[in-house]
Amino acid sequence: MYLTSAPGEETLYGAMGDLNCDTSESEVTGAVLDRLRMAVEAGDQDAAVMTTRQLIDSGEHPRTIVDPMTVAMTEVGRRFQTGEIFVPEMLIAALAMKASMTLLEPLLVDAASRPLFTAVIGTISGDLHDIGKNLVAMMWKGANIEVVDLGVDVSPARFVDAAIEHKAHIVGVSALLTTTMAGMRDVVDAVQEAGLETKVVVGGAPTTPEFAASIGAAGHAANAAAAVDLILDHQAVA
Amino acid sequence: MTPSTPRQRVLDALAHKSPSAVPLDIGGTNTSSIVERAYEQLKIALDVDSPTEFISRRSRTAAIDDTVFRRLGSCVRPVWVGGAIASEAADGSLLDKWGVTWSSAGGHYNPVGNPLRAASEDDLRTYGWPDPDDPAWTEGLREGVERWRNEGEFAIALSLPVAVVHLSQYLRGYEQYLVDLMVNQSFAASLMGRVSEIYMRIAENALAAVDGDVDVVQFGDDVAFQDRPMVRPDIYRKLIKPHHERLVELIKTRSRASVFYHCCGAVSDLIPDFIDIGVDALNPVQVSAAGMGDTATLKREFGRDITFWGGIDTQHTLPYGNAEDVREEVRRRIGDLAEDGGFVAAAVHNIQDDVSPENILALADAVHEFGALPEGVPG
Repeated sequence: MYLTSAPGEETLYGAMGDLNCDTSESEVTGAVLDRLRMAVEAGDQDAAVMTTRQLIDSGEHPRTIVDPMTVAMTEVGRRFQTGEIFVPEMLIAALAMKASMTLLEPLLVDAASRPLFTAVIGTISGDLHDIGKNLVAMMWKGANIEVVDLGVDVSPARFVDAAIEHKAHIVGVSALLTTTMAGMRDVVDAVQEAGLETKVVVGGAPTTPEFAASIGAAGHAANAAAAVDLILDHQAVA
Repeated sequence: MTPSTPRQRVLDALAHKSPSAVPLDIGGTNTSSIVERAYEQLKIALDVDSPTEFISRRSRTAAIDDTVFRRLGSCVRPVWVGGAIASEAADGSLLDKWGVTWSSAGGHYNPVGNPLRAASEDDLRTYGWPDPDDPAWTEGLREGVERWRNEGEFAIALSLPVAVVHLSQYLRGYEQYLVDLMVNQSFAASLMGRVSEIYMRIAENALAAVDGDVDVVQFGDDVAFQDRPMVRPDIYRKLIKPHHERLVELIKTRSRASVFYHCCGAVSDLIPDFIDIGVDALNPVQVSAAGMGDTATLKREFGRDITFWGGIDTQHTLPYGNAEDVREEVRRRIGDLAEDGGFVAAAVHNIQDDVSPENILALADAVHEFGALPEGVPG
């Protein structure tokens, strides 16, 4: 399915028109949560922010507000995996969720609201390419994984230090170049030498599952949506 | 069949006529050369000690020495539009004439900082765009062509710097550019329109400098990722394709050259569009990308209408295989792609730093071994 309507058209105003005075409060909330889900799916940042504000103002628990966005990002990931959509659609959906999360994050302070997994992510030493890494970071956040993004040109030691500091379950390493991809093995080794149980997963254009296995990585993802499955389906994280 | 000149083999391949042997290109364009460190190693292996010159400093693509060219048996010689670098900083970073800074961290130049990240459409009017009539762009072009003419019968390829998509990404930021394509198409169109206008003028000047008298004109502008096109095909057709179409038209009206278009990635769904705008040769035929590995099918579907220029895997075989693997890769691609012309053998993209001299030589030798048509073609 392609995004064909102009942002905001269907997602916001269409659904609002259905609401009337006879509707019960929970039905109203349900409809607004659904509009938020649709706004994120469509990558409609303005509508995502507006509905999020509305839900916060009506006293909704922030965790409840995050849920439909996670559903939306799962759907976006599915469409990407099946080839129905392209990177820009995935990108604007992730950015819509990010904009909403900016409002929600200060409210998500209690322990029960903390994400299940924490991941440290970065592009390998010597490599400055970050579009793929950024997409994985966004999709992981969309799947309610806490993400510490170390940026590009990240040394094995920095991955290890960050994994310790943030008690990370996962270290995600990205590479675009065949010349830098070999350095991923050093990250796997460094994490092991530090005695961490953190799982190292790898991705990027030249990487393959065979390569990941050969360097002792816990998993490989061919794209950002697959990177979510890698963690949530417990393929890489026990 | 009597061996014809290297130039004639390229021309025959582009005309979809069986050449006397499959032509090889290593070093003929800015997207089919060898990157600095791999080239240095190759020079050592061949006992060549001439200083390295570059087609593009940012890509670190070598302007290959004539001795190396002859050892490889490459059929194409490059001339290129230069003059892109405005200044070099003490830390080794480069500033180009578009206002983009290139960091050299990690041994590769990468664009850092995006001068138009927060720009409005109004800002595009006042931005410090480069002067397309600056003579530095076309300096040495005419002499380059004359030099190769005197060296022998080689196909001459002019590499143009035109990259409407790429430059827009450098100026705007990769992610913001992709977001613009979805939610701010007016800005994307204005930015690419402005960039394209300047590039067209540079291309016009370059074609005039060589009197349109080159065999191939190269330009590269990636519109695909490893597993799919960069953007929905209808958006590509609306916002990007028209710029490429105008350039192809300019090249065809101002020269007798065939048009060589470089686009990495999974482009099988877009090849009909490339054919539609008049692209003669597709480079690099990234066989490791989705839908691009079955080169026999690509040849069957599109081989009558487009020449495949590339095809020898650089993501796996050249860096990680041994010389025998490279030989097999060459043999396979020649078998798939070379029948009735329409194939110039070349590595997929520039040969990167992790490819050994042995494998570069194995690539060249295998093309000459298996490319001696017709009996050399397997199957």
